[in-house]
Amino acid sequence: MLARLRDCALYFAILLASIVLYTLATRIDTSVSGPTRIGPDLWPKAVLLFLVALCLYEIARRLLHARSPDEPAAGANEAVDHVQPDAATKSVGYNRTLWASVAIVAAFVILVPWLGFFIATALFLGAFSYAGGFRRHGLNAFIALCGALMMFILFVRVAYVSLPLGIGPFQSVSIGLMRLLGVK
Amino acid sequence: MEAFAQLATGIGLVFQFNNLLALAVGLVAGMLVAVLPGLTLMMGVVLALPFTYGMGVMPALVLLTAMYVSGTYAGAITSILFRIPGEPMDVPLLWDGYEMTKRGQAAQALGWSLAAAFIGGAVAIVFMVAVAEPVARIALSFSSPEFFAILVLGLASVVALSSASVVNGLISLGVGLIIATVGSDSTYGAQRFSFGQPFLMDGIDFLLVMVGVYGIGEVLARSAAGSDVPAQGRGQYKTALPSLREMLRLRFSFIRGTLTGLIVGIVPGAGATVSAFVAYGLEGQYGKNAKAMGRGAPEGIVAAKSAATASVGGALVPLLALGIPGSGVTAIMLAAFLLHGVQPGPQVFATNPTLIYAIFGSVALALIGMCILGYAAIRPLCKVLDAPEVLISAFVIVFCFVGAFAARNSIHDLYLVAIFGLVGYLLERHRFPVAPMVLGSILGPLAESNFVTAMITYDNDWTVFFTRPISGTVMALVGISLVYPLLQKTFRRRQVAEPRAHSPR
Repeated sequence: MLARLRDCALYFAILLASIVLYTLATRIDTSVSGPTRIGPDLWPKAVLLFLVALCLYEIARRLLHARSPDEPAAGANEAVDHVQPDAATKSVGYNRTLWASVAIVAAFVILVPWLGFFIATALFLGAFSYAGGFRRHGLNAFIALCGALMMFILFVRVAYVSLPLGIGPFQSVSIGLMRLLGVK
Repeated sequence: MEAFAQLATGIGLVFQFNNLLALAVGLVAGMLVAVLPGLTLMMGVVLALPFTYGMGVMPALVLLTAMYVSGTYAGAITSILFRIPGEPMDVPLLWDGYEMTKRGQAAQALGWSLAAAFIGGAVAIVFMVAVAEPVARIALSFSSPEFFAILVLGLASVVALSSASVVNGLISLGVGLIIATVGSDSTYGAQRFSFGQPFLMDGIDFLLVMVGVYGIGEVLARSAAGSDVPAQGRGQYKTALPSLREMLRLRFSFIRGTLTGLIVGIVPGAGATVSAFVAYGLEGQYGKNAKAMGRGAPEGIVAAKSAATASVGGALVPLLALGIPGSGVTAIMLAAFLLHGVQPGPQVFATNPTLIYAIFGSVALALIGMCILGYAAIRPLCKVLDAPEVLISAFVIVFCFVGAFAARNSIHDLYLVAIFGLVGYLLERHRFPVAPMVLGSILGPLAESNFVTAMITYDNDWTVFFTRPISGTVMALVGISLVYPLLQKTFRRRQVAEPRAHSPR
């Protein structure tokens, strides 16, 4: 039973979110549409009710009917499975890599406004590659620095993107770099 | 005939310096993303999107089209030589192409693949030019109920085709539709789900959903799965084109594959992958050499590859004529259109025909460029496989974030991309298809505004979607597209259950 409930966890989460959002949708200002026209709340409410119904159906189905052992898992792509290595044997290592990757991505997103694009990107490239198993440290540091610099040049000089510069001393580094590249 | 004269004008336009440069960059970029492990064509096109912000609409679309065309071929190289399907559409090539490589016939396999891609693509161009304008002309007579019905059909077929579980597909679609409702609504300007946050009041750009799901989510999924690179085909870097006589011998495989690609490509959400698999299946059933399929038969390569390339033309027709993307990549092209303030659909044929024919022209030139590059640049293309996948993934993530940031220069968009990346990964991990979510976030506002307009115009009479001849027919197709997979599943279960019931114990 616990396994079946765990199987339904994502559906419960979507169901809960849909109910909360539906409650919020009842507070959408409908006075703008007048008494005869459909209001701006109708579409989101309809979609949320649809989501609630789907989640309830799927939860009920999963709790009431156990999957037969020979039934293929939903969405399993046999063709892709055919060419993928046996993931199960390596899942522990890959899971560690995954969560390290998630943490590094989150750190990059949080730190980039403070550190600026160049420094944050160099640190990110190095850390992400290390977490992914790239252990040639000198080369890793070189690629991280050169890669960050190349992307800085590419985005600032070619794509004209206004990148985050960072704050305090980090901002000085970004501005110095931009001066070196001839960007005012 | 006039359409083909316009195609010539379109080809002439692509020869302008900016467009030609975009074409060349698109060709090389498309080949690289299709070859590189850890990068899919879809991700590549998403990553290219921010570089098109500063371009004019024509070079931007020429670049993306060239990427689309060349990307549908290059994955064949790694599939045939190294058993690495660059794209899901290249999986059928493993069964025959890699088998030929193991027998020392890699050059022949690559030759068949290139010939099939060229023929499929060439027929697709003729089809596209002949069909798109008449379809657009018919679509001009449509009003909001018809457009709403067609949009629903597009969304429903994505759900039906992208997953073995229709319920999961529908949930994914619902999530995308809800994301699209955030911010002020387009009809009345009322705020919805913005929680008083200024960055949510303008809504969530579908670009963030797309970049997060296809970029970050895909990288995370690959981190979790890992990958190994076998090296069977190393050193076999050349292409031997088949002779005309050999090609004529396989003419029915070419015809079957190309027609399948055109027809399946038109169906919204189907795209090159479904086309390739369907064509391979048909070849296995009706082909002359069906018994040899899967053991290194060129027919398998020809069917799958001609279908994949022909589907490009099929998928571009609904995008350009109706404004509904026929595949993942055309969904991103739709985004590029919208970012440049152009709404593809029947009106564009009247207001901006040069743009449409320039796109057709770019498909034609990209096809030629693809063949030249595919023939001549196998060695350098295979060299990029030596790059460690983790490094490529790291760069992809940075490109994703900059692409998302550049649209509005908002740090909050970075947070949203990261969140969508994680959501995309979690959904895929739990076997929810992500394509309906992305398409829901793109087409949701269009579907809602057509729905609201229809309801206002027809005094809140919802039966209008079912009683008007065209919208009613399309709605019936929606029903079929959703019910058919369920019936198929039930039928398959019965088939499995019956022999078990009759088997001796």
